[in-house]
Amino acid sequence: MRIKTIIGFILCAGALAGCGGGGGGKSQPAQAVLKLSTQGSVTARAINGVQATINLPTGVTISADGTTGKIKLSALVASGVAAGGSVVAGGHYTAATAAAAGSGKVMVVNTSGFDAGEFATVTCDLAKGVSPTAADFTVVSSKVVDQNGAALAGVTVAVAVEVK
Amino acid sequence: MFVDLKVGNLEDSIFSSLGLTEHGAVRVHYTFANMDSTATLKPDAALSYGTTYTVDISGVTDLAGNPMASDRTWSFKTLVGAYRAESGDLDGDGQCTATDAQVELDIAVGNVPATSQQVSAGDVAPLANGSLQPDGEVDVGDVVVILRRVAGLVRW
Repeated sequence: MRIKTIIGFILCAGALAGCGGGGGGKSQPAQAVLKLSTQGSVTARAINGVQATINLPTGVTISADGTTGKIKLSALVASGVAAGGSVVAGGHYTAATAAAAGSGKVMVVNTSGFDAGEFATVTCDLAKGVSPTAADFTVVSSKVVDQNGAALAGVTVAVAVEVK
Repeated sequence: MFVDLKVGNLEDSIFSSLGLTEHGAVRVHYTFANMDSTATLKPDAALSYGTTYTVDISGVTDLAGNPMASDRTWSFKTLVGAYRAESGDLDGDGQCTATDAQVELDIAVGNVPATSQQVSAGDVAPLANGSLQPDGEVDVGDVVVILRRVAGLVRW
């Protein structure tokens, strides 16, 4: 009888532990995946480079080197129409201060050229309880250039957000 | 680039080994400039900027077969190249490579500060009818043009 009681206690404790794992345990921090895209009318593969600075809402950060601010490779990749071929991507993260929002400046260059559309994916970390929407991210400046490094007029950068 | 070697009376000497190496690889073999006390190393191509080279000399004997007391080796380092405006050479090694494109990108996004020399060397875009039209700033346009130069897609 006593043995049955002990076994029953163990099973119950195990069940409770399983229930609690999804709430207060070591869950992965929530992330927001930003999909950056160019919008505008351009001829096929007319874009060779894009740079954009995006202001981040409160509680949103990007994983970066603590000294230089260089965004880690795991947090920024060329994607969509800019992926593949001879492509380089890099960026700089500036943490928020009391006076200014945090921001990320990203750049993607592909010598082969690419069409308008998604060109980069930025993975942001979210503070507890933060769940931003695309409207919370502001593209404060951008430049889209052709193979000669000349700006393409009328081409802008937009942000789409998926919170995980 | 010439390296003069004072090794005694070469008229009476025989080299079994004399060479210039870069990172362990033989870069050039010696030639005699004249038959006095000087041997001159003439690299087949220009040496790289900011690179350490090693000169080795061994197995020298006179005609009587008397060997040099010991082999000799010494190194020298070439000067870091001067930055040239609109060259695309941001690391000062005398060449425009993928490394320069990466340096340019890091400067353009703000990961590293730029020297005035690097700005001068890296501000190349835009290109107009094949000629450079620097716009006074280092940005994505410059990275594109330098990377395309590295890939052999554009020349200047």
